Amino acid sequence: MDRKFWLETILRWGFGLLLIYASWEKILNPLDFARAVENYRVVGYSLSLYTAAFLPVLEFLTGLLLLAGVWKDAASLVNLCLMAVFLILVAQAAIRGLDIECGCFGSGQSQAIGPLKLAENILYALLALLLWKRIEAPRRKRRGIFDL
Amino acid sequence: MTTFRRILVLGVLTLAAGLAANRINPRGIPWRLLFLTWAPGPNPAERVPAEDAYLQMMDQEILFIDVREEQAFGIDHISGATHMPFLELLRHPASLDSLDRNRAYILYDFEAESRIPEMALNLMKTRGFRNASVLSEGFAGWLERGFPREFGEAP
Repeated sequence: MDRKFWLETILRWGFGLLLIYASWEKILNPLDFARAVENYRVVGYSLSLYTAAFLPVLEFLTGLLLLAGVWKDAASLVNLCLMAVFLILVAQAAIRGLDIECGCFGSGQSQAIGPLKLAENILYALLALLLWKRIEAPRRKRRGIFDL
Repeated sequence: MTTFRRILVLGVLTLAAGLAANRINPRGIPWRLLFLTWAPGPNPAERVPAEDAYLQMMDQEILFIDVREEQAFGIDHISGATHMPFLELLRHPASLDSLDRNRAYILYDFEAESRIPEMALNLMKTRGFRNASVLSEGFAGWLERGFPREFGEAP
């Protein structure tokens, strides 16, 4: 067991637990999450409802796959996309000066959008990128091409 | 299986699990709401300005339906309005059957921009209500004009 293995495992478990934890409250109270999504003023009422209905489930399933170590390539790529989207949403809200709650972990634990939240999301996105590269690099070497 | 196919399968699983989770969860988003959001909004004839609604109210021609949540309705609402929270309507559309289909109704939310009365109107149409419309300015516009409201629970 080398250092790379442990780094990947820790990141995988970390993101797995984080995604499951973040999705749980949103799955239980999707309408509250829909309001939080609408507050970002990026999507309208209809899309905020669809986002609230399906995004937390995607987070949950991705978290489960990461924890179990099944379909790591797909799960780590989806995780990276999720973290990138969250970062973009938080960044645009901060730039536009929206005085809103993050809604990242559901309505139960509201956190205001600010420099700290932005830094947290940048860190998550960088770690997600690291995890994806850790998982994808050996696969690419083996296959010679990126199989997307 | 390639990464792309795995992501596709994950997407399909997400759709299925999302629909199931919202169906099982009593606080979930009703499926009907997901479809209603795409229905076209009311035509101009189905939008009633606050002044016209007030006159019709004085002539006792119409009944207001407040589609807001319990808490908002409990604070204040249009005098004589019936309370039918939108989410409850979605979950139990049969509750509309207690209303007289030959009567005229005006639905409202707090804000004029809210799409909730429009969706409630579409739901009413599907249950045979032909004489329902939406208050153009919402309850906010009603209050701005100083039209009558009452506090607490409806009589």
